[in-house]
Parts: sequence; structure tokens; C-alpha cells
Amino acid sequence: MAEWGSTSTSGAAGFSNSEESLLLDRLKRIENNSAGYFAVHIHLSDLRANNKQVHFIQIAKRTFEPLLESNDATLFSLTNLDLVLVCNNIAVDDVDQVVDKVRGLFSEDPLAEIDDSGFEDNFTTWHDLSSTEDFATFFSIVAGLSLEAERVTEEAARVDAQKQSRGQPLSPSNLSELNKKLMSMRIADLIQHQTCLLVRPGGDGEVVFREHFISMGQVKERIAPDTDFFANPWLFQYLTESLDRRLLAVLSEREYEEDFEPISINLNISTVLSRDFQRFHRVVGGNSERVVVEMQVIDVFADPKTYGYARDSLQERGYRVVIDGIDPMSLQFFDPTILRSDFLKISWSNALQDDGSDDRESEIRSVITNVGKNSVILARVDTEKAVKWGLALGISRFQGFFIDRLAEAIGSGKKL
Amino acid sequence: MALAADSQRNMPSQENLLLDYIHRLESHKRDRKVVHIHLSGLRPFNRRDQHVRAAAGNFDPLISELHGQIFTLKNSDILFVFKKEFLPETETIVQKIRFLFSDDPLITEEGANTPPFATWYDADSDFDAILGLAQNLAQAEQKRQSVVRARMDARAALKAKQEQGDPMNPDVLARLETALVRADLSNLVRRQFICSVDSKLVPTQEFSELFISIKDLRETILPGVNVTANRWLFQHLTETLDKRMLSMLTKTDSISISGEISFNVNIAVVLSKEFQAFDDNISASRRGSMIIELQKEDLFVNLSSYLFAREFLQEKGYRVLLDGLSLEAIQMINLERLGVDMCKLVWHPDLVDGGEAVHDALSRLVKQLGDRTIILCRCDNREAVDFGRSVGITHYQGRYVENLIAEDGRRRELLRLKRRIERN
Repeated sequence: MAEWGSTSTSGAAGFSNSEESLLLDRLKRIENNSAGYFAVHIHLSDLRANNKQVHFIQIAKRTFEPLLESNDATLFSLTNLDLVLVCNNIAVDDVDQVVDKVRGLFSEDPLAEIDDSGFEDNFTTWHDLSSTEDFATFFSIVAGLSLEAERVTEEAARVDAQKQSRGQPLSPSNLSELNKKLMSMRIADLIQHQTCLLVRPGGDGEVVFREHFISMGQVKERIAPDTDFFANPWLFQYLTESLDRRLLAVLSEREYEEDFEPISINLNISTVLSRDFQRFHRVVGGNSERVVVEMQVIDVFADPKTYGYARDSLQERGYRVVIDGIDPMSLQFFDPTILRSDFLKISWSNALQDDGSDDRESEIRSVITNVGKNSVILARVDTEKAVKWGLALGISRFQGFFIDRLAEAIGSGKKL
Repeated sequence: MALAADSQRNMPSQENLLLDYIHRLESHKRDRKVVHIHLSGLRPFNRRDQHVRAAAGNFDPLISELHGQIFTLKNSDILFVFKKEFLPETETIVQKIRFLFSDDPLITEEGANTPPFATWYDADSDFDAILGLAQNLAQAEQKRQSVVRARMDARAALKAKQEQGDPMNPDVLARLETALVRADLSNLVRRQFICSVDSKLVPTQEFSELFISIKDLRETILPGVNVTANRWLFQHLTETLDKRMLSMLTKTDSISISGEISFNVNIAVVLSKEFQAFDDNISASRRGSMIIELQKEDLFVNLSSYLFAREFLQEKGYRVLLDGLSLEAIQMINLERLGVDMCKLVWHPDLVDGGEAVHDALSRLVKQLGDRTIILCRCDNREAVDFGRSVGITHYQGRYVENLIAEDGRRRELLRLKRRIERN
């Protein structure tokens, strides 16, 4: 971790120490005596965003250690997360063995898939440095990466500064203080809305519900600008329990007309089974079919049995239940139909579109058929592309920034 | 809901009324039939109150003429007990109700291998089956009510507080974590064996799990605090405990780690410096005898991290176990696809109460997983092992298994003694 950090922030200390420039130096030194040398360029920069995590790369680098210890080989860890292995007189099979281990680490990433039909492997490129032509090509690639690194490092320094401003991570010692502030702060003005829209083939839309939520980012600004709320998932979840209670308290003070517009709220399962929710239920009364309760898939998995009670108690009283936060990739690993919710909220990500893998798409298609396309809500929709992708799969319920704009347009009577 | 629960307490449930009725039916069962309509199998949006009411309403004419008696159960199922001679009328009504839900998968996908829409009984010849059904339903409802109440009642919360201590809060957690840095935890490490158990209930030790006893930790460091009261705070605490366990395992003199062992590690910890340091100190051959237990809670926090961690661990030579699965969880997730070597199913009497459906589902799962071992854990009594064996599970862990080991030890000791006496 420290080692990696020093690479990415070395810009300020003078760029000559960067891994790219060290690699260039090395290449220059072997240029006139390059017999037996070759380089393997491992394109980790092309991994999906969620696999490009610093600790993943760290572990990937460690995989090379046995090879480096017993051979004439050097590993360069570039700013863009690519790895370059420069070897002298090592059997290709020995290097292959290590590269395959690294490939295995990322086996769920499309980058690591071996394409039988193609000549080129996307994961690695090999350069025979003893060939003048290969050497020149590789040298210019590295020179290009070096320039790019300089720019990225400057950018990274800026982002680092921003990260600093995210502040101290949540910890048990600051949690209690924050929780107290959260319970006493003004909150009603922070409630935001996002529309879930049913899009009809003709382009007409109908509001399914409006999600009411409190933006954690804004809460942080108001009570603890110096604290990073998102660094620790468990302690963050703890705070959401308090936030639930605040949101319910505000919503319980409202008056609900006979035919108010359907709303949805995102709650911890523990909140659904709490007194705060009972109080809310008394206010909503006979209009519970206009309220949708969303629960997070993490919460559901932590205790499926309690989720089952919460779901039954909600559905019996007329509420509709949504499972929120489903990563489309996770659909390959679990069957959400067993959760017997009314809706499943699947998060759109660009990876879905760029994936190009027919297997994954057909898998998602079969899940959607299985749960029923009327039960799926595609969330985090920020582009028209996402809507088109969803419609093509038979999905008709959408939510996200793009949908909010769309809903506004519909609201103002414009034809889409 | 509090009000509803109160009024329920004073009013007998349909399930209890049904059981009562079936008891009384015994004396005139000769000319009665029963139909059980499985509306609980419908999709949730098809079994709302109004749907069930509409379905039940079809029986009104027969009921008002006193030809039958209806019970609408909590799970939306309908039971109708009627006089034999009204079988044709009843059949027509059931057909009509079927038609009401004709677009639901329960109907559209009905086949030889799926549960039927309705089950018919003859009160005379099938009386035992009907009585068993009514008893199960009443029991399930009673349990459901007590659980729901336990979760909702301030009274229950108070009781839990008296029995288990004050619920954990962030301040206490902060203090505990500071204390844990200095405390010597080696005397809190416990070992429990995972055994295969043969038909004579003789256990064979396969490997042992090392863990820090939360109960003892509470008693020695935090008397009067219920550390598991808040799920999220507890999860955070386990990360600290995992790191302490790793450092104890590195210093082999602090605890003995003979034989094949397993221990819990959060995914965040697998990817941390602490684990890398641990891994550096472990010889390659030792890794093969270690099983890393991952928590299901971690799985969906960050699936990419889980997949990466699993791949990394297995590549290094460790085996990976997914811990703490309930029946619901084990049915939901694709263990093969997740690539774990083993998993632990938590024993609960519900597994038996679930009847044939659960039994069949689990047997199928055990077969399907083949080499990937399912361990039934937290086995407190013989019922657990008997159930496990009936669905094909071979590996067990828990207090009852520890008893079997002790018993087996005593038996062997006696045998040795007997042999010595014989020799003399």
C-alpha cells in the first residue's frame, strides 16, 4: 500500500523517480545488449472500475515475487495500474505460469477472458526486446505512458487533495458524536425525491412512485464535513438506522390524502420492525398500497429470516416491497426470486452495455424472465442508452437522473 | 401493529380454530371431505387480502347452507371442510378460484413436479394426515406470532436487556476496541471440531475451527453489554477480532494450531496488510491445511472484492468456506458459481418443521454440490444430526458433536481397559 502510494504521488518530488522513467532508463541500458530480454505488458488499466482497486493490484504484484527472487526479472508498476515485467533469459512457460495466476485473480473480469477466436490476448502483450522492431515499438509505448503518467500524477495529486477533504474515516470513537448530531439536526429540508417511471412503448410515461430519501452527502456537509462517511461500510449502515428514524418521523407528520402519489422509502429491516415504523403505519392507515418500502440486499443477506418476517408483515398490510442495491453481476450468483419481493431494483452500470459478452447478457435476460419483467426496476439510469438497453430486455420501470429529466418533461406536457 | 398484535392475543387464530375443529371432526369424519387450496404459492401481488377474500367468498353459498366450514390461514391458504355429497359443487368452486389466478406461475407452471394448486383429503381415510396438517399450521402460527412479538415488543426488548445486557453502542465499541489492542486474547480462543458422523453416531474429526469466544469476551472484558445487539457494530468488531486472531496464529507459541484448522476472516481483512503479513509467515505446505471462513454478510457488500479474495486465497492454497448460511440463504445463492470449497448451514428446528418441501430441497442441494462439503453447524442435539443424515449431510459441528467426541473417547478408554484386563 505504502509502496503503491509513493508511486502515484511521486510527481511532486520530481518525475525522474517514477516507475515509467525507471523503466525507460532500464530499456536504454539494455538497448545495445538486448539478447535474451523480453517484456510482458499486463494491461490492468483495462480492468473494470470495480476491479481496479489498489489492494487488488498490490496482491497481483505480490504474485510475481517468487519469480523475481529467483530470476533476472524486474516488475514495474505503472501509474495507470498496468504492470510491466522485464525478463532476461527466463523460460516463457515459467512466466506464463505466473501471468496465469494473476489472470485467475481477475477471472470474473471480461479482460481476463481468453478469446479463442482472436490472435491477441487482451490481458497481456509480449515484446521480444532482442528484436529491434519490437524494442522500438515497446519503447515508444512506454514513452507515451510516461507522458500520460505525468499528467495523471498531477491530476492524482489534485484528487488526493480532494480525498483529504473527505476527511477522517468513520470510527467507533467519532460515531457516537455524529449519531447524536444526526438525531438532533434539521432534516426535513434535506429530503429529496426521485421518480420511478413506467415507460410505455409509445414513449408515454406513468409515475410508479417517487422515492423519498435523505442524501448522505448533504447530511455529511451539514454535521461533519471533515468526516468520510463512506470509508467503513458497517459503521455507515449504523448511521443509516438513525437516518431511517428521522425520515420516518418527518413522513409521519404529513397528512396523506386518499389518493396521494405513491411514495417509496428505503429502510433498514430493523427499522421496518420498529416502533417508528408502526407510528408511520398508523398515519398512512388504509393507504399502505401507495407506499413502497425498499430494503437493501446487504441487509437481506445478513439475516434472510428476519427479512422474511419484515416482508410478510409489510405485504400483509398492503405495502409493496422492493429489494434495492442489486448489482447486475450478482444475479449470476444468487436467485432473487426466492426473496418474493414485489420489485427488484437493479443498478445500471456502463459495464452492462460495454460488456459485449453474450453470456452475461443472456444470463441477465433469463433472470428478468424468471422474476417477471414487471418486477424489475432499472435504477441509476443516467443516459438514454440505459433506457434503450432496458427496454430491449423488456424492462419498463426506470429510475435515475435521466428519468427525473424525462419525468419533468412529461409533467410539463411535452411529448417525448 | 401493536394494537393488532394485542387483539390477536385475545382472539384465537384461524389456525387454532382449525385445529380445534379437526379434533371435534374426529367423531363425525365419515361423511366429510377437506380441500386445502395453496394460495400461499401465488406471487405476492396475487395474494393480497382482497384476492384471498375474493377467493374465499366463492364458498359463501355452501357455508350459509351449513354444508361446509372455511378457514383462511395467515399464509393465505384456504382450508374448506365439507359434506361428502357436495363434492361436485366444491370442485366447481375450486375450479373457479383456479381461474381467478390463471396468469400466476402457480397455475401456468403447474405440472407433475410442482406442488398442486389444491390438495383433496377424505376426512375418514386421511384423518391422520389432516390432523398432522392442522397441528403443523397451528404450531407454525404460534411460533410466527411469538417471533414477531419478540421483535416488536418493548417488553421483549427489556427482557433481552435483562438477560443479555445493555445493547452495544459506538462508545462502548470504541472502548472495547482500544482494550482489545492490549488484551491477551489467547485464553479466549476456543476450538470446536468439524466431524463426519457415521450411522452409529461415531464421530471422525476432520478439522477444527478456532475462534474467539464472544461469550467469554463479554464476560471478561465487557460484563453487562450485549455485543451482538446491533448487527453493524458487531460486524465492525469482528474485523478487529479477525486481526487479533491472525496475529495469534502467526505467533504459534500463543495458541496451538495442530492439525487442519479453520478460522474466520472478513474479506476486508483478507485484503489487508495484516493478512499479507500472516501469509508471509506461513509455509506453503501449511496453507493447504488451513480453511478460511468467509461471512455471507460480506458477500454482497462488494462482490468484486469477494471474488478477488476467494481467487487469491485458493490460488495460495487455502480452502474457502462460506459460513453462517440459513436455509433461505443456501437456497438463494449459487455456491458452485461462488466457487467455495465448503459451506456451513446453521441448524435450526425450522429445518424439520419445514416438512417435505425443505427436506427434498436440501437433499437435492447436497447431491448437486457433490464434492463441496456442507457442514451442519450449531448442532445442539441429536435431532440436528438425524435430520442432517436424512438429507445426506455428512459433516457436523456443535455442542452435540463435542459430546459425541467425549463419549467416543470414553468408549475407547473403556475398550482399552477391557483389553488390558483380558490380557491380564
